[in-house]
Amino acid sequence: MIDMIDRRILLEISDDLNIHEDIFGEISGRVGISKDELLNRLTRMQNEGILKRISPVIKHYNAGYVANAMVVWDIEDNERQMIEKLAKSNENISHVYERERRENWPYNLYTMIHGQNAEEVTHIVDELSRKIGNKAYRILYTKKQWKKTSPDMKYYLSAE
Amino acid sequence: MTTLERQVLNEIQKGIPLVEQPFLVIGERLGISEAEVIDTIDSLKSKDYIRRFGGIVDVNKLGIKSTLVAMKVDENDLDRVASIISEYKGVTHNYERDDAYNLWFTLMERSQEELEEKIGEIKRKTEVEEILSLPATYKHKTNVFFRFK
Repeated sequence: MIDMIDRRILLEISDDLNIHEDIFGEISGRVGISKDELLNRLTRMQNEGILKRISPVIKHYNAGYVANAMVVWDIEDNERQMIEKLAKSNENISHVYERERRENWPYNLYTMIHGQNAEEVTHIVDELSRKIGNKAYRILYTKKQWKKTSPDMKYYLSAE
Repeated sequence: MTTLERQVLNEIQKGIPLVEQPFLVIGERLGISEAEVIDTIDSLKSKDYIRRFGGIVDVNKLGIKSTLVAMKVDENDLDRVASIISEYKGVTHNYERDDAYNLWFTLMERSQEELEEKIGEIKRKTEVEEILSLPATYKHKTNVFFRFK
């Protein structure tokens, strides 16, 4: 659980931070706590899984990853562990989620795959497909990003 | 991208250490100075490789409910529909994809009720008939990492 100070911290670090030697000193000053307390709270929230990390969010398209696809699969229960293992060891796969199937949409596994070109993406998909022995997939390339942003913490953490 | 920029970007993507001088620690790992790390990050920002430098929060751990929504939108109506969806604060990703289900967006709200209310509202406003809400049932991996060689 988080308290009011944690909320203030999460709001502060959700902005684009100024990068300098005393980055945590600046944040703790804004929140009105000591730097030690800030680091303790950040570490605690990281251990609890609330804070994944403090890092850059990369504009991967600008940085050369121009082929990005959501690949959806219709998998059997006994293929789940295999998929998980393969996906975890592949840096080009960022997200692997299971979702319920729908009447006109028989897919229950979603993988986000990023490549420097379309061949790289299809190569990864082919390899995954071959290793798990499953060809029931569909590749949905990104055509246009209408919106991509981080969750607006002010929207979620403002007083109820 | 310079070699130094690639090295720094690969290293900081894993998250900076939560210590007094995180960029000093990053520099030690790479064999460069604290100032060089900071200058390189500034340069990566100015070259527009970085959208934001900050905390990555798992909002689901804070009780927020989320779903992925797929829509079949008439090609000629895509601009209008996509614009309506992007206006929602709870929408973080709104992508056009090359499929019959051609518009995909993520929606996050503070409760399940709010989530369903917003989906209903989007249906009414956009008048799109084919819409699927696909909440995650299990997350195997969420780890965005781009290796720069």
